[in-house]
Amino acid sequence: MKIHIKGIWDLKEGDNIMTMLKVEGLRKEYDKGKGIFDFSISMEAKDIVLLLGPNGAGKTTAIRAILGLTPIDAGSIVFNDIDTIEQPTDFLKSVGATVSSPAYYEYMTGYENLKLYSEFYENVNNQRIMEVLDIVELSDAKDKKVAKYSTGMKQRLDFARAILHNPELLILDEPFNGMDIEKKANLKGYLTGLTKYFNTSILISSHMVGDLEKFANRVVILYEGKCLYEGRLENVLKEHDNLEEFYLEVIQQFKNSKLNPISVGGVI
Amino acid sequence: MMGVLKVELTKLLKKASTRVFIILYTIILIGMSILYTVAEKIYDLSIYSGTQFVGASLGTMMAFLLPLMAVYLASSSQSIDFSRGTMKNMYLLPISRTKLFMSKIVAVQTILGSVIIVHFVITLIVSFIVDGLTVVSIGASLIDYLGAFLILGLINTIGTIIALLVNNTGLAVILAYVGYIGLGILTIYVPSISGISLTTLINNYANFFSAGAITMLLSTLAYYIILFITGLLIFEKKEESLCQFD
Repeated sequence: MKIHIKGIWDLKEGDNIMTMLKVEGLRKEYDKGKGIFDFSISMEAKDIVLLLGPNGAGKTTAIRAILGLTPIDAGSIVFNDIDTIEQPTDFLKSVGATVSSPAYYEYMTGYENLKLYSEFYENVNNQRIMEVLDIVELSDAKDKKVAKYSTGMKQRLDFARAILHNPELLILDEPFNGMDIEKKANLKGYLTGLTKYFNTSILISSHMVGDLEKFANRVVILYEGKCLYEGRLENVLKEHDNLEEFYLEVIQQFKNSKLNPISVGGVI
Repeated sequence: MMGVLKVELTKLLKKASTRVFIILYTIILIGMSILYTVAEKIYDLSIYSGTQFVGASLGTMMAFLLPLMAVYLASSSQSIDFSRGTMKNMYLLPISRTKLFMSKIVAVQTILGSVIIVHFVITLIVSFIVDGLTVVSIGASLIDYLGAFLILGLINTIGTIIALLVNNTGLAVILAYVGYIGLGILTIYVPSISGISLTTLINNYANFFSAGAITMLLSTLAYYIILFITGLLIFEKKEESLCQFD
């Protein structure tokens, strides 16, 4: 299936520099022993990292901790030599993210919502807002109040906000929820284009493996707040028929052994 | 800072309830001006002289509508983001939390300031038409307005804190009024605190820059500092409540 990468050609090639995110020993503990424990991950430019885990595994907590939305108990996060805990605003200039369910000012239109956020970035003008609306296929609905948007439209508007300033690093929490097959395919095509042509790195969380194995190049498996595996997807697929099989195997092995944490092959 | 202030102002001004407040205020102001003009010009009554109308009309608004607007807008400014979950989007923007908090307070204060400037200009024109003006009386009226602006800033900050605590605009407004009445009663039973009591300060906004009002000015400054720091601490603490485990 040939996917048209809508809008990608409007961006200037080479806008982004090489990206590197290094998260080490991240720990955030909530009551009743829930949270994330010793979460580590490293990303380079063009990486598409899939953060997999069942509901309640700690994916959103990990993403929130990386983005500085929640204070952490221990660990370090370095992005392009910037300590993100010390200099969060410098980090956030280069990051676009969607976290949990999309939230908007429903009494404003889609365009007005994006216009608000554009005020915080120097490189975003009206043309870019229109371009982004076109990418997420909301151009026709740009003057509609967000209150009248469907769940899928809100999801796409959330994505539009995340890519508005053409960030070096995209962090997407369950981005494909509520999207139909066509929109999902277009979005994946666009994301692939971003990594290919603009060196953008992408971290995507998901509780479903589905067809994402053809899309990402690295995978992290999180379970009960522990990082069970981090490695290249190609290494996983050399020894397993598909990612789902590997995912289930890793989790089963963890349940059996109760080792904390374990590494199940792969190159980290 | 200007960018985030513009954003906060847009969010408030796009809200229907904010517009309703501004329209209501305008209607009352125009109504008062018409009544005053008709009474003095047509019925030949002498209600005010010089710029008394400029100050008296502000007093009418300060008795209820302006403090209500201050509390409502302050609560609304917070609840817009916290109740809709859009605060997480704001936290993802390259701006510090302190600036974010400040911009919300300054945005509300900008709207209140604009409203009383327009009020001042309109009532000044009406007074000029009806009674004539002197430069001295304009200066005296300006001082009243400056005092009102300072007090509205305090009410704005108090409204912000209550809204952050209860996360509900309507409840914040009710609590602010209950608190105001409660403080008023306390001041009656403990007269020694009346000099620094918030209710006294609010009622005496017109005397802020009069001779001997230094205690009031210092108390107001102290309240500003205490309330701002308290509000900022609650604002920073509140972000943790946004975190949900997954």
